[in-house]
Parts: sequence; structure tokens; C-alpha cells
Amino acid sequence: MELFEKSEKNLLAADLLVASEYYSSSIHCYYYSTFQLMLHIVFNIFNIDSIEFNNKIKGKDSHNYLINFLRNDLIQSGQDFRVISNDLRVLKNLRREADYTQKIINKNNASSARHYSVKLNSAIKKIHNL
Amino acid sequence: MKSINFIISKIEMLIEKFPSIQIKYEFEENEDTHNIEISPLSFFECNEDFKKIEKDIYLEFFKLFPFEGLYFIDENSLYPITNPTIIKKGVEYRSLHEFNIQTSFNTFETPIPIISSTNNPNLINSNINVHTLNTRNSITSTNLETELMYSLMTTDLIEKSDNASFALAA
Repeated sequence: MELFEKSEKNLLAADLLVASEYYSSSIHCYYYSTFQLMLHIVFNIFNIDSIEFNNKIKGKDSHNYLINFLRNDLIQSGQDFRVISNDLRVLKNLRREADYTQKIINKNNASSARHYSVKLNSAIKKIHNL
Repeated sequence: MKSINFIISKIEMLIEKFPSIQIKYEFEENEDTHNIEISPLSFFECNEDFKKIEKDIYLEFFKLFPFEGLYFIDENSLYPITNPTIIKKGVEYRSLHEFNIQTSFNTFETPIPIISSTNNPNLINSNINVHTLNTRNSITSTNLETELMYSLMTTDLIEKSDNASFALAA
């Protein structure tokens, strides 16, 4: 399954999790929907070899690398990078709270994650004509 | 060079170049991420020279530390800096609180009519006068009136003064 399709399905899965009130799990899926879309861009728009990419990031923070990579592309191509950069930071923090902390995750948190994921996916697709 | 040294050098450069700002910095160890909060918001949103430097810092950072996170954020961020390890204020930086007080006393240009003292024409049998205090000029009224002015300025009344014909003081 292509990463693009995985990204779309993670968004749908997240909505199903919200409907079942599994809010923290939904945030995980919203986040990965965006993350997989970013990976799709790197592999299929920038044509970076996935094996080469995975070797490069082995044991390191691939999430930071991806965000830096795509933000740099926005800067170098003269596009607005701030909104995407800050939205990614917020979504990343929501996911960290959902996955790694004892904070109780509620429906509002899940709605917030959905908002940022959908917004980011839409912006990324628009930038890369998907 | 370690990333923290890179960040500190950039913070020092920014504070020197833009003396009207405040910078807060924190490092999220679990995320390997540096957060730099810039105040005031108007500067962060509008200063084109800063935006150019911000871009350059991001580009340089990615070359040197591609696996670490870096974010310039404003003070209204959904995830603000809560535990800064560095707070630097430029020599011209004023917090919103300091700015409000200074503005109230020194640069508020709208005349503020207040009723105080004696002979209010609208009140029967009273001794109240109407004064117009323009705070662009120095406040030469009595201590009581100065205190009254300060009191008024720190309430909602002053924010509504454009529409209000009088701020009534008892």
C-alpha cells in the first residue's frame, strides 16, 4: 500500500476511533496521517530512495528530519513556511501528550488534532499539486 | 559545534540586532527540540528583517543539525514555553504591562474629560467641575486627581473613552 493511501486511511481510522471515544488513539492516527503524507512527498516528489532515506535516519529522529526537510523546501522555494511549521509543532505536541504522557485526552484534544492534521494534509497536497 | 551553542549564538545576535524584543528559549530533551519564543507578537508577525534572519537560521540549522527540531514561536502559541532556560530582553524591550502604564501616562493623546471637584452643571446642588486632562501634557492636577486618572486608566472605562463623553468620578 502506498504511503499516500496509508495516510488517507489513517485519517479515516482516526475518525472511527473518535466515534468510539478512543481519543488518544485517534490523535496517534491523525498525526501519522500527516507524517505518512510527508514521507510520500519525500519519496515520490523529491524522489529520495526509501532505503537510502531509512539508512540515513537510522537511530535518529526521523520526524524532526522530515519536518526540517519540508520546511527547508518551503523556505527555498519562497513559500510561507511559518503556518505549516507551527501547525506541525502543535500536532507533534498533541501526539506526544496522547502517546507518552499520563494526561487524559478528551474529545476536544482529538478535535484539535483532526483540525491540524486535515489542515496540514490539505496544505501539503496543495503545495505539491496532489 | 553543539546545537545549544549554535542556538545561544543566534539568540545573542537577535537580541543585539533587535533590541525591542524578548526571547525565551527551552530545549525539549525528549523531542530533541529547541523552542525560541519571540515577543512582542507584532514584531514576530510583521518585522521583515527578522523573518529573513529566521529563514537563514532554519536553513543553517538543518545543514548542521538535521535530526533536531527548531521552532520560532510567538507568545500566543498553543504550546508556549513554560520552562525557559534562557530569557533575554533587548535594551528597548517593554512588556505589555510596562507599555500600558507608560502609554497611559505619557502618550495617550485623546483628551479625557472627567468630572471632579465642584460645580457640575448637570448636578443640582453639587460642587463639581468638569476638567479635561490631556495626558500628552504633564498631569498638573492634584495628587487626588492623578490617582483618579490612574484608577480610570486601569479600568475598562478608559478603553471605552472614545465613545464616552464623560468618565464620572465620584
